[in-house]
Parts: sequence; C-alpha cells; structure tokens
Amino acid sequence: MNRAIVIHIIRFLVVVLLQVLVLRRATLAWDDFPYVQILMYPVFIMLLPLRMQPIYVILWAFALGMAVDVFYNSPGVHASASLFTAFIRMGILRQLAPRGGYTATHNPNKAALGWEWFLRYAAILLTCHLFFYFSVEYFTFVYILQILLKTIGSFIASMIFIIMFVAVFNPKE
Amino acid sequence: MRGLLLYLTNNGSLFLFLLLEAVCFYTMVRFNDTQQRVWLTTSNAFAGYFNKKADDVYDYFGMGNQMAALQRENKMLRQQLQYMAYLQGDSLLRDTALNGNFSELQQATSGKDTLYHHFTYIPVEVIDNSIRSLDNTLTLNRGRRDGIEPDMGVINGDGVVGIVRQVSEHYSTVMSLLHRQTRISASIKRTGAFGVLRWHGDEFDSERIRLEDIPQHEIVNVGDTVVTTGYPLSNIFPKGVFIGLVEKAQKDKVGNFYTIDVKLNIRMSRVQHAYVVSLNRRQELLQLESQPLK
Repeated sequence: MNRAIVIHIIRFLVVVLLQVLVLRRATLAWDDFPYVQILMYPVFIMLLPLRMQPIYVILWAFALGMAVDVFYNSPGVHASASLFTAFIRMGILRQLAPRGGYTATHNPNKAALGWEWFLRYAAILLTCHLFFYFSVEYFTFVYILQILLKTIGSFIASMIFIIMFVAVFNPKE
Repeated sequence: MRGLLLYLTNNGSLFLFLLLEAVCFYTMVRFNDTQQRVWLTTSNAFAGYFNKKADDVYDYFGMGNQMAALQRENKMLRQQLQYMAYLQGDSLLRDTALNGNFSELQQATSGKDTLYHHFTYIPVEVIDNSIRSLDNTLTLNRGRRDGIEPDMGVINGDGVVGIVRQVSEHYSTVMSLLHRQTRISASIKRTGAFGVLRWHGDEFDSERIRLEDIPQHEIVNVGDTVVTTGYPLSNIFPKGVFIGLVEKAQKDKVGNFYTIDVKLNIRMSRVQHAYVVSLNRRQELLQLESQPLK
C-alpha cells in the first residue's frame, strides 16, 4: 500500500515536471502557431489504479491540474479539465472492460492490458480532456472552430508524448 | 435524513467532482483575464436583458404616476396659455385657448407674438439617472440632432431637473440639480429676492437643495415658494419654474446672507420624462453677451 502511494507521488512529480519544465517550453517556441500544444500530464490520471476509489481519483486529478496551473499561470483551467477527465474515467473504464471483466491483476496500463487497449483508452480520455480544456480556455463556444482545431492538433502531439512516456517507463501499477 | 446521507455517499464522487469544478470555475473567472472578460460580458448581456424587461414592467406600473404628472403639466400649460391670451387681449386667442385646440392656437399666434416663440421645449426621456453620489448626472435619449446644445436647461412638470453638459449626436448628459457644480439662479416668489441654488451633497439627500446669497434684510418665511429667475446668468431656464418650498431659513453668523434649505418639489429619483429648454435666439443672445461693454 505504502509502496503504491510512493509510486504515485513520484509519478506525479515526474509528470508535472516534464509537463511544466520541458513540454511547456517546447510549446512556447511556436507560440504564434497555437494549434499544437503538448499536454501529457493526463497520462497520470489514466494510469491511476483500476480499483482506486473514484473520490481519490478526483482528488489526485484536482491536485495535478492545480500543480500544472501554477506553472501555466492559469488558475483553475487545467484543474477543471483534469477533474472532468477523472470523472469520466470511471465510465470509460466500464465501457472498455475486456470480455469477462477485469481480473485482479488488471490495471489501466499497457503492461496489463496491451497496447491496443491502452491506446484506445488513452485516445478517448485525451480527446475529452483536450476538448474540455480548450473549451474552458476560450470559455465560450463562439470559437468552436478554433477549439476543435486546437483539440485535433494538440491530440496528435500529446498522444506521441504519452506513448513515449508509457513506452519508456512501462508503468505496471 | 439517512436517505440523503446515503445518497450523498453513494454519489460522493459526483458531488466532489461538481464541488471542485465549481471551485475551479470560480478561480478561473476570478484570476484569469480571458475567462473573466467572457464571464463579465456574458453576464452583463444577461443582466442587461433582464433589467430591460424589468424596466418595461416598472414603466408600465409607473404609468399612473407619469400620467398624473403629465396631467398636472397640461393643466399648467393650459393656464399659461389662457393667461397669455388674456394679457394680449386677443379675444380670438383667448377663445381658442379656452377651447384648448392647440393647432388653431398655433395658427392664430404664428408670426404674431415673439414672446410665444421665445422658448422651444424638446421632449426627452431619461434613460439613466443617479441620485446617490456627490455629483449626480442623467442621460437623455436626445442629442445634437434634436437641437440640444450644452448649457441648456432641463425641466419637467414638477420643476427643474438639471443642466445639459455634454451632447452627442443622439444622446446628452445632464448635470442634475444634485450635482456640486450646479448653480441656478432662483428667487423667492413672494418677494422677488434672488440667490443661487447649490447642492452640497449633504448626506446625499436627494430631496433638499440650498438657496444661498439672499441678503439678510430680506424676509424669508418657511413655506415660501422658490422659482427660477430666468436671469441672463442662467438664461437656460424660463422665468418662474417652480423649484420647491422653503423648509428652513437660517441667518449666517458670518456674512450677511441666509442659508436656506429648500425642499424640492421634484423627486429626482422618479424623473422619467422631461423637456430640454431651448432658447430660440440663443446664438444671438450669447453673441451679444460675449461682446465687451462699450
């Protein structure tokens, strides 16, 4: 139990630092082309254990979003998107349950359920996250076209980094 | 109660989610420029829409009062017409005035009487009004296009409203009676002694104004009528517009003047319709007055 918590804290730190110190600066480089942003941090929410209480998932997501917001100087924006992602995660997991349900060793990661399952899972969550994020960033659906373009552009870039993250660290719990 | 608790614990994640989202949205609107701007614009648009609706309803229910005010005004005008006709000894004019047919009266008087054409009254509606600050202003729904110019007076059936300050194409702003820069020449109707009306913003009282510079050798009684003088210094008002009644007259300890509290007849908080007073030969008069005396 303690080991699991330590792992989550370390992963939390790694994801946040990667996001705000590396990926954020990379995005700043093409500031005049805002349609591609790299948001890799939702991977932390995706990788939380399958049987973790939904309340804790939401609290972790809130902490994650707020931590990112501190560095992005946008209090509340990333946090609200993270909360949304954490909230729909339960439903998505239920939908994506393999035939016969999850076994005791299953966790929502590539090591337990394979690349195909994980990519589908990550893609759905990431799309929802990005769409929600850009919607609250504009705070109005008047710019729905820009929101969609940003979602698509950022989806491709972010997905690449999430795959890299999972391939490199291959998290198991 | 137990059912409620059970429901809350069963749906704990949903409520936590909604609660934290609410926190997020609050921080977002509070601390981020973009979101704040969108929020304010949208909420203002909403509020504006509902305020407008509410105003319409209030207008409707306020119609009785407005009607009464208009009737009073009509009565006053009718009396003035009769009086004028009487002064001129013109029987035709008098009869028309008594019968109250305005267009006939206009025909009968056109080109005849310069006094009659001295002032023009431009009917306006008040679209914004304040009474609770030190310098109160009103906004009118007519502007330069309708012949309004700065420094014209604004009155209605209940008395003096204020003085036009700025004029745009379709709107104008008015320095209300309740503005610290307002100076209006006014007199005690009974004696003709005149002074200056000023508002000091005392406790932001919108029902009283002060009449100053009336010398102490004049006799001022409580209840005396205060009207405009129409003097050149403020030839923006016609003579004799009712302002209010003397409520309290105090002799200054220093100096030779009274400090008179006048209870306003007009309720500034309720002004909805008014007239801008336009002096017909205003340019000529201003030009003449601006020339140095030889």
